[in-house]
Amino acid sequence: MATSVPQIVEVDCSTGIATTRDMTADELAAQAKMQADQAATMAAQQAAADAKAAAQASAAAKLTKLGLTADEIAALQS
Amino acid sequence: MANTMTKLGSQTATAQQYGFTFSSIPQTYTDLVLRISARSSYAAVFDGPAIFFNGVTSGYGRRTLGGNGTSNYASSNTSGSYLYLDNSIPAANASANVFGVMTIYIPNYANTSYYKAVNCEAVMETNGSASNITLTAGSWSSTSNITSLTVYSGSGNFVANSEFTLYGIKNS
Repeated sequence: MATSVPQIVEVDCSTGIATTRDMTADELAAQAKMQADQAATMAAQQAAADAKAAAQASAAAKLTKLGLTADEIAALQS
Repeated sequence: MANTMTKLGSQTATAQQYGFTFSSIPQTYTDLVLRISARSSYAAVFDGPAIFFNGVTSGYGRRTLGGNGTSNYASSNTSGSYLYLDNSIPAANASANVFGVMTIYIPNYANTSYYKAVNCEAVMETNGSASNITLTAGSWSSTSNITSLTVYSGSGNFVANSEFTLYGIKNS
C-alpha cells in the first residue's frame, strides 16, 4: 500500500490555475519543523500562563489575610 | 497611496488543507497583500499559521503583540525557518463556525536591493469568548524578489471554507 503524502494547493498567478500536488521534501521538512516549534512555543506559553495564575491566586490569598476585600484584590490584579 | 488593487489568485479550501502556494507572482506591482479568512483544525483555541517566500526556509524574523481583552502578550523570534504568525487564527477549541481575518501586507516585494518587510494584522471575535487581536512585524533577510508565497496552517489544517486571496497593488 502506497504511503499517503500530504498535499498542498498551488495557485499559478500567471494562469489562475490551481493544482493540488504532493508536498516536496523541503516543504515536508518545513512542516515538521513548524509543528515541532509550535508545540514547544504553545507549551511554553501555557506554562507561563499557569505560573501567572498560580502566583495571582497565592497573592490573593495573602492579601485576603491582610484584610483586603475581593474587589480591592481584583483591582490590584487587573 | 495605492490606487489599484488587482486579484492575482484566490483559493477556497473545499476540505481540510494544510497549505497553499501562490506561484509565478507577477513582478509588475508595487506591493502584495494577502487576505485570509481561516480556521484551523488544531485541538486548541488558536493556531499560528506561517508563511515563507520562494520556497526558502531561512532568514525570517518577527515580533508579535497580542491582546485578548483580559491580557496582553508578546512573542518573537529571529533567524527563523518561516514567518510565524503566532495565535492569529481560531482553532478547533474556539467557538464553532468562527473564522479569523488576516491581512498580510508586503511592500516592495519585487525589489532586489534590500530585505523584505511584512506587516500582518489578525483579528477574531467569538461572540463571548477568546476574542483576540495580533499584530506581527516581520522581516525576511533576503534581497531576492518574491516570486512565490506559501502559507501553512501551523499545527492543524485549514478547515473547509477557509479563503485565501492574493492581490497586487500599484501606487501609480
